[in-house]
Amino acid sequence: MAFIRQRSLAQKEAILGWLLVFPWLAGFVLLIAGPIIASLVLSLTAWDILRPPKFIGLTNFHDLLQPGSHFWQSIKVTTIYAFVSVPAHTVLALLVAILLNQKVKGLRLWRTLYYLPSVVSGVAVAFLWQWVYDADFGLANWVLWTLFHIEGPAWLVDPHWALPALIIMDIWTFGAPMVIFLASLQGVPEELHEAAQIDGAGAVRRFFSVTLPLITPVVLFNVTLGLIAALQMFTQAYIITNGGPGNATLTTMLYLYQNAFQNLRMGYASAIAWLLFLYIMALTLLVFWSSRHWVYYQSSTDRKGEQ
Amino acid sequence: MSQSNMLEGSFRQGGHPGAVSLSRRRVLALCAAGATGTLLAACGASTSTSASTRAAATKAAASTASRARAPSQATAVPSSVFKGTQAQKTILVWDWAAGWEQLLQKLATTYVHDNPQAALNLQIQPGYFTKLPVALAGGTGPDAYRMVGRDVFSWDYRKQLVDLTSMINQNAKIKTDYGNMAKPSRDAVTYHGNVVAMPFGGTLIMTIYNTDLVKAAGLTPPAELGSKWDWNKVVEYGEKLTKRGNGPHPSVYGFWATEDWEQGWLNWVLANGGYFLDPTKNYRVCLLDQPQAIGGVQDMVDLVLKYKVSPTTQELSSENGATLFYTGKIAITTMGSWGIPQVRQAKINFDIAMVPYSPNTGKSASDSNFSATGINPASKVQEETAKYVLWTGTEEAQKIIGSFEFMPASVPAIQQTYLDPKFGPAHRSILADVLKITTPQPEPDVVAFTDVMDNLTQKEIPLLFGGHESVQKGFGKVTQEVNARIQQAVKAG
Repeated sequence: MAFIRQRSLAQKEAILGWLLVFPWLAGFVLLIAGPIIASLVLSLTAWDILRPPKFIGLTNFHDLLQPGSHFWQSIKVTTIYAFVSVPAHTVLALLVAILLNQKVKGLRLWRTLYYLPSVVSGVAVAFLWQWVYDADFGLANWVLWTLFHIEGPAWLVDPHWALPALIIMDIWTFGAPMVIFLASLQGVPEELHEAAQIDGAGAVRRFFSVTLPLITPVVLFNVTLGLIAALQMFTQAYIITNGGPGNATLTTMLYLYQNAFQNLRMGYASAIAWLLFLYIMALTLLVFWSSRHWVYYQSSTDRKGEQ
Repeated sequence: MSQSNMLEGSFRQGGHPGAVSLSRRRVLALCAAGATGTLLAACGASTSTSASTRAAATKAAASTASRARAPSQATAVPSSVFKGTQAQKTILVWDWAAGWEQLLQKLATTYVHDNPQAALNLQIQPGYFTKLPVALAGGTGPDAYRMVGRDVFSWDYRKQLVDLTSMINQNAKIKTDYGNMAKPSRDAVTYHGNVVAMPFGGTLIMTIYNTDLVKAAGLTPPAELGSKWDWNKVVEYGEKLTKRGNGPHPSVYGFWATEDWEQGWLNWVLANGGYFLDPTKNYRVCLLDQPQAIGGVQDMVDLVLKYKVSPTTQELSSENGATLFYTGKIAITTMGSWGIPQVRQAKINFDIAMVPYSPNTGKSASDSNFSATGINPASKVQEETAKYVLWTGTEEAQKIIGSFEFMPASVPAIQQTYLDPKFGPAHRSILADVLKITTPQPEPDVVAFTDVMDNLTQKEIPLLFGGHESVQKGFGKVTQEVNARIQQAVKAG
């Protein structure tokens, strides 16, 4: 304690800071950084778990990147999944958040109901939707027939419908971004709305000119995390379709899992992990780069005003 | 999108917009860093219990249960220790078949009774097929473990099995008993001339039919048709037995052409003179682009799409074909011999026949999965383990297996126990004829069987049966992929 007492305030803060982050740092170094480095090394080997790894250089990456390989198919599936589900997810979450931000009766109940799907385990959700998508007795086709007289497809066994089915399922669990949007909507200063209203702006104009710009950082947050999560989609594809029919729902994470734990190709799976990581990183950076054109930071405007 | 850390972070951010200068940027930067860490963890060899891991565990458990081929799906037993009166060293034995718990326990009790110095720790492991290689690699694997026949060569190729050849040859009784085992069971464990595991028991594929439905249609039971029970007859019977009404689907299907490789299409291919992988080339060449294979599967696809006597992939996604058979909505199908006790429990009148003959070759067929028990080369109690494993191949142990209606590998045991008419059905003895023509399932060595069958070939099958792709095109593609995969593995060593 005497040692700490002799330090300046800044040094004390620094020590305290390091002490506070130490558990996370130790966990990161031992449990995450170690396996990350190991997976990089393993990606350069042929390793079936049962025998020692054999160094093969970049062969795994070369094989993966061959035109027509299953890896490319998995990237295609994953990309379509992410590029459709994330915007749809985000827009729906925002719309529902706006609705739940209104002063309506039973607000807490509505908020709870809309959030409920997000607290259900991914495996349970997968099984539930498996029933919903049942071609003959499922709710989806029943609704299509009863309301629109449309004969629904064989959702999970038709290669054209299996991926859209998984996307719809994902969109259903929009509770988490919805709550985040709701919190951000409640933080939009009321005086800005009042000022806009005095200037004659209607509800739609106020939303696009006041609300939306102020919550764009939250949109960025939701899109970024949504994108990362979508590009790592595994559970639904594994439980419901196992990548089929054909390879219509073979996501990259599922392909990785199959190679690692079913085919015992740990080196190959590690190479997939690194390629997926680079892909996610590239897309994330792209989103961040684009954010300078569409994300509005009130604080940066304030700073500019101070100068 | 349901991670709690995301939620917490975003409340902080979204709840006070603009309250702290630059806080959003910092929060976003931290989120990005955190997300990157999470991503790396997920992409790397993460040890966290993610949703993916839980899903995998759930499905692995389900997969294990389905592989058990048991009459009842009992809960997995964590561990049961059996000790002789003078027990010394305990050997650890792993199995996956929770449904055969009583059989495995009977074997263990008999063994320790006859060998008082022995002690067995029998563990029936959920998620067996994922857990076993990891445990062996981590040095925590069992001393003895059972494996499906199609994995034996690839496991020995990876040096995970002790060679039993000399042990068998040194013991006259074991040698005789081993020699009395069915040839396919011995073939399944003989890799490059060495016996690398002890055959345990196996499965056969047969035609199974609802005798009430066949009788009501005035048809001769397939079991009485001999070699006339061929693909043409299947179409004829299918059309006569299919009951089409006003609904979107028939109320009864005459035949179920199952998409499953083990009970379905591989047997059509075999009967037609083809196969999945070439046994004469160490199972390293795919044969599915050959006319025999294409013709065999085309015949099955026609039953669904052309003759419409078999349920479609879509209908089968609503209700399992086996359930439809148990409830009298399917008249005839092909099934593994493990299905007999299950059909009996369904309380329908049934009988069995050979798998339909190919009119092109005049032959029937059946693939067989003879499971076997191997010894871990890293076992510290190898001598004791070998003693137990060799004992499982004795006629005495094999008869115990057969008495539980699990087909043993030993021919005398099959004849004296498994084929006992008391188990039924009427033509149970046909299984002896099936045994004569059965072929061991393909056993690739350089790649895991599941790699080339489940992950490359079987995924294509629903496209063929659904009419989304022609058999020729689909199998052409699969053949290229399987061969490329095998070549990749050969190159990697």
